[in-house]
Amino acid sequence: MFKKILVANRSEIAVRVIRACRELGIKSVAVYSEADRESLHASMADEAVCIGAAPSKLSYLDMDRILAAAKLTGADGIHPGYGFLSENADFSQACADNNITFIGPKADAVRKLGNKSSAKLLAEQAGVPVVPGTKGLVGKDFKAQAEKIGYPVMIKAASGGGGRGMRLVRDPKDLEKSVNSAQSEAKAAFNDGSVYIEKLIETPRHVEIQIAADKHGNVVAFPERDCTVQRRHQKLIEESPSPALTPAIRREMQEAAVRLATAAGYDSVGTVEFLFEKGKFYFIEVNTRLQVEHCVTELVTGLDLVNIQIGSAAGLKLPVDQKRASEIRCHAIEHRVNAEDAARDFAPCPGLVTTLRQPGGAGVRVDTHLYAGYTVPSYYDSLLAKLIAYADTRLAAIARADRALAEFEIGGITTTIPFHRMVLAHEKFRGGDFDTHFIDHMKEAKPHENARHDRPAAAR
Amino acid sequence: MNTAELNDVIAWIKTTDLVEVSFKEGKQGFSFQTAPQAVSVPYYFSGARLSPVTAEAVGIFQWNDAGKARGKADGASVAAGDLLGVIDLGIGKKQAVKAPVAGKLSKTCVDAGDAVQYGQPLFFIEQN
Repeated sequence: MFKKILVANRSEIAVRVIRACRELGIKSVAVYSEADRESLHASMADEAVCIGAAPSKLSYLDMDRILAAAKLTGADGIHPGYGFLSENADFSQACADNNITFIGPKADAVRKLGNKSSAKLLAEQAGVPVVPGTKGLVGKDFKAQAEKIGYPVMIKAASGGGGRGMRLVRDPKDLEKSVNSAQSEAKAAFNDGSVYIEKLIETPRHVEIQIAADKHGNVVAFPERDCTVQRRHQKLIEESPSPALTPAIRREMQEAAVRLATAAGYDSVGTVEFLFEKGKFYFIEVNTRLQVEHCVTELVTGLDLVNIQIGSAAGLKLPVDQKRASEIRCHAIEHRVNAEDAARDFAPCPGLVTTLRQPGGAGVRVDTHLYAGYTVPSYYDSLLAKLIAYADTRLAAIARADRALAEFEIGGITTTIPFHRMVLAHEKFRGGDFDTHFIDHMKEAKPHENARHDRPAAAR
Repeated sequence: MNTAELNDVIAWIKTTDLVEVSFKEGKQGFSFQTAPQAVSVPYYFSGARLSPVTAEAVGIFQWNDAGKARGKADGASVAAGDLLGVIDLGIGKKQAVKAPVAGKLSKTCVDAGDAVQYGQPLFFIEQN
């Protein structure tokens, strides 16, 4: 087992990992940027090292600085948290080169699964359903191919990005014109006119499977997390189990995730993400790291994923089998409380937290790095806290989440707490029947009537 | 624009770590910058134009590369760019500590073999 772990991250996830280390009797080292001198993770860890200036690329993304801090403090493991260097195969390799264990999958598995197109290929080989589409780039027979895929379809540029070279086609008679214009747009934008065709999944839910694997070839899959409540691809609320899945689909998804992890030689915790629509699921990508919403699965299963992840990196066998991993013990809902103003198009609202009152009581967990008197820096993401409520049933968990959100007081800055309560009160959410467009379509998400336009957003 | 309302903005900036805020609407607008933070200097240095030389890397401080003597002693005059020490990152990489300004090396706060972190003052230079 490790003697000392350096946590190469900040905010609530650094605090989460330090707690796991403490429970395992492992010493912890925090690293922090100049903007995070007053951060909770720096004061909680057994040791703390200032590694650089505020911008991430000069601190939390700088491999040399993090490795130097690990060497200086004698850490034998580095936990990357999420974001920053957590899915960087080069960093994983650099750790190995310096005789430090990277607490995550081996570099080879990150390379195989981190790239979307190679991951999709591997998924297909492992018999995991993917979004139907042309095998490669479209040729002269594109009409027949599109017919086979089924309308509506998306035409996407092979070297694409930012929506350029992308066309939505609903009617077969528009296909030829759209393929031609997509090709010429892609040619102009990327100097590569090749395009491929994919089925459009119009009203999907985002459902993902948490997996855990060890260095002895064991892989287990946990119950799914439903992360359909998103805004511009940013997850806001995650719950488990999904209100949309049947036990049979759940088992199919879990088996697919295990097949993919096995095919990649995966050896840590990770998440296989799917789109789910009309009873069918389609692989989209793998996150080769611990995720923000891992706590949902911890509460539903009664297990500690960070503990399992650290143990696996230390070479231990998984402490659970598939039967135990599949157990659903409650319903859990997580709310990401951000320093954002929902009425101002979710503009970031960093600043001084003047007062703090955290919710408590039965069935409530709060993971946060906040304290009264802490200034939320403007350099990093706006996640302030994760509030997770859990109860026997989904409706009981919703009632509990709303009660806890009402108790949660963060003074001095604008947060998304009122927005979360609005979602919980929404008929569609309570009914469990919604897709990833739910938030964008919520008419209440429009700015409040009393929003004034003669003051800068930042001043409110 | 009601300039009294700008007081709200100024009050708010003080609660953040922002160094600059700009706002523009049509032809109107404003921009605020917070005053540069003065380096806090012990009282016995007050009056002198002292520039701190801080560690820009994490590692073990040495006076010079292995086998070489300390370049600049306390009280020596230094030119901008003069080598004052070396930080060994412990991963096969080193970073030089150089004088940012010319002047007299008036205070040394570090010794060979010390562990140093980013931003830690290593020297103070009394500027010419």
